[in-house]
Amino acid sequence: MTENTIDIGVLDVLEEKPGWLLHPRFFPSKVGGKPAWLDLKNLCAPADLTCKKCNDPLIFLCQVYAPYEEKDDCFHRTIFIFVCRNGSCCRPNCTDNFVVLRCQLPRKNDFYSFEPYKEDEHEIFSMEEWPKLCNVCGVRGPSHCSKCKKSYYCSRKHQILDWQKGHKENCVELQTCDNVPLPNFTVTEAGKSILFKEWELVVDAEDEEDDNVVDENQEMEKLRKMMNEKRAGTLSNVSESELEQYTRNMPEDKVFNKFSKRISRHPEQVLRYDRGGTPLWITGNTEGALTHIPNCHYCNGERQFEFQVMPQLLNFINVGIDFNSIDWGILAVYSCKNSCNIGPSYKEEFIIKQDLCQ
Amino acid sequence: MADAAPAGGRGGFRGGFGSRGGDRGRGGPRGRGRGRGRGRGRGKEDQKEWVPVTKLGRLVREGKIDKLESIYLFSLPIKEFEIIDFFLGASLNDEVLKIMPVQKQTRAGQRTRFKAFVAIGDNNGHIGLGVKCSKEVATAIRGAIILAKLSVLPVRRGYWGNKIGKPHTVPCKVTGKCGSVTVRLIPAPRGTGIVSAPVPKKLLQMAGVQDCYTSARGSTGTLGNFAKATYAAIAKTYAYLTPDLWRDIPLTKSPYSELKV
Repeated sequence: MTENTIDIGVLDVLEEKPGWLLHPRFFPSKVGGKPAWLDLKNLCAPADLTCKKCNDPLIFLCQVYAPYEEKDDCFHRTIFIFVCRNGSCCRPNCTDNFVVLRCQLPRKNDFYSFEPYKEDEHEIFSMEEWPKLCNVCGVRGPSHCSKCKKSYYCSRKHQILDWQKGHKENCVELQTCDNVPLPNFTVTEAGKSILFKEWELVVDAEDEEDDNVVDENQEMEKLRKMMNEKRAGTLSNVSESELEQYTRNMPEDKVFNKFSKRISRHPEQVLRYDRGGTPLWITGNTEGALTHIPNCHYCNGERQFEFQVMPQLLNFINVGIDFNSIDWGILAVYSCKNSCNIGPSYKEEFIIKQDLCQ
Repeated sequence: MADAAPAGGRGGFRGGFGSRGGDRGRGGPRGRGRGRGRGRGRGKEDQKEWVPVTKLGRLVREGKIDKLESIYLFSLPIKEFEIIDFFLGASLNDEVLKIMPVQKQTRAGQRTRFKAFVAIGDNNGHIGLGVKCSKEVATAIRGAIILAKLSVLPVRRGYWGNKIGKPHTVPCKVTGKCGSVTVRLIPAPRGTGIVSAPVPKKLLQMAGVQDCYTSARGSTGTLGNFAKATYAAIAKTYAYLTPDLWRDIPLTKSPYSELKV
């Protein structure tokens, strides 16, 4: 069976990546921390990024840099996933607490240079012309602290959080200081308590299946040898049907077995990218019927599967182990097949969450 | 037609996900020595560390669940065999019960596969049984061991008479029924050994039961139901309410609700 080569996303857990390498100008794929936006001017409003269940602001989960090489206006293309930090908003097979955004830019654009940037920590990338970002979570921050007017927030909740976690002390200093650099993409003290742990997502290719042709006769020989050495089973004289019935009547989840076998090639994978393919489902017990995938809101074209987030990611971001913590089996993201350019800069895409029913 | 330059018109920018054969970003200088290519051999499989996929797996790996019994108490489904390994790893002994070739008729002759039955137990109250069919003998055995670990059950043992020494027999008479076959496990005095048919004898031995009488009724010729009935009887040892359990035990919280971070 020939397989398409699937790209696997892995977290780089060995080396500590310096934070500045995850700045938007390097077009990173990352998990946790603040989102490294692509289009810096036409950011979506904080109202678009609130949980449909509890109305709290959503927190950045991960972003995937996946350009379309065939299309010119998709030279840079990133997909962002946001999730509600509140564990109780997480229901099995329900995605009300997730939002997926897609953004794309041509090579020639207003924000980044035509040539790639050198990987230099001290190269200055000015953010002065672009809208301000929330200190705590990194989404657009329309409101600001009325005292110092130098700290921006997306919502009252984050303003309160920042005040408690350190802004109370700094506010007075900030009122007098002039050229304070804004923590646009770096995580602040307040951010540490609410944002996920930051990692870079590295692309890898999936190993191919070890397809060794088995020689039946050889195997029979092996079995005969084992029988001679009396290693072929201590109850060899018992009939098959008798033994067969001892195996417990556990309803076998064949889909989960296939899933386990496939991920055993790369146990540490956190993302599987296969544009146009089908997701690797985690369970066959689909109680919540797999919903019909709606067409793209903007161009009405078809949506296709793009990538899926694996449950292993939950081990690395600190989610908490409450009964009601954020949990998923897989998160399958579907995006517009044509990667249309109609509508706002950050377009909403579709996501399916499949849970392992308890 | 094909562009010779590997960056393929991206002019030095990284490829990101989904790039076909191009520059895959920082994948190169990582150098964890993985190397690609077929037939690399299976040696590296043993060094792969377990990354849990289920929530229960995550809880177990962090050590938030202290005993396997807490999982049984709340009937939480166990989907990863590494969980059992974590608790019982060192003391588990596996034993291959039978390997048999099974054949299927195809147009091109017969296709032979091997079916392996493996029983696993720690001789101290846990027993599991797994079956796996595969094209190779070794794969079948390995798969059967994993399935056996997933089906591990606790077995309760008690005394026949005086409560001296360690429990050695079933705590009370338990019966399991399947179809028309009823199998009854009866406590026996020390030194009796296990008086039963070969399969349940092996299972009870590996579970740590030292003495037991069994009695079967019904058409035990239908060997299928005979074995299922014995397994059901063993499972019932923990379901039976004996006088020493009459005292009320306060309800404990499920591991999930207990651990509020």
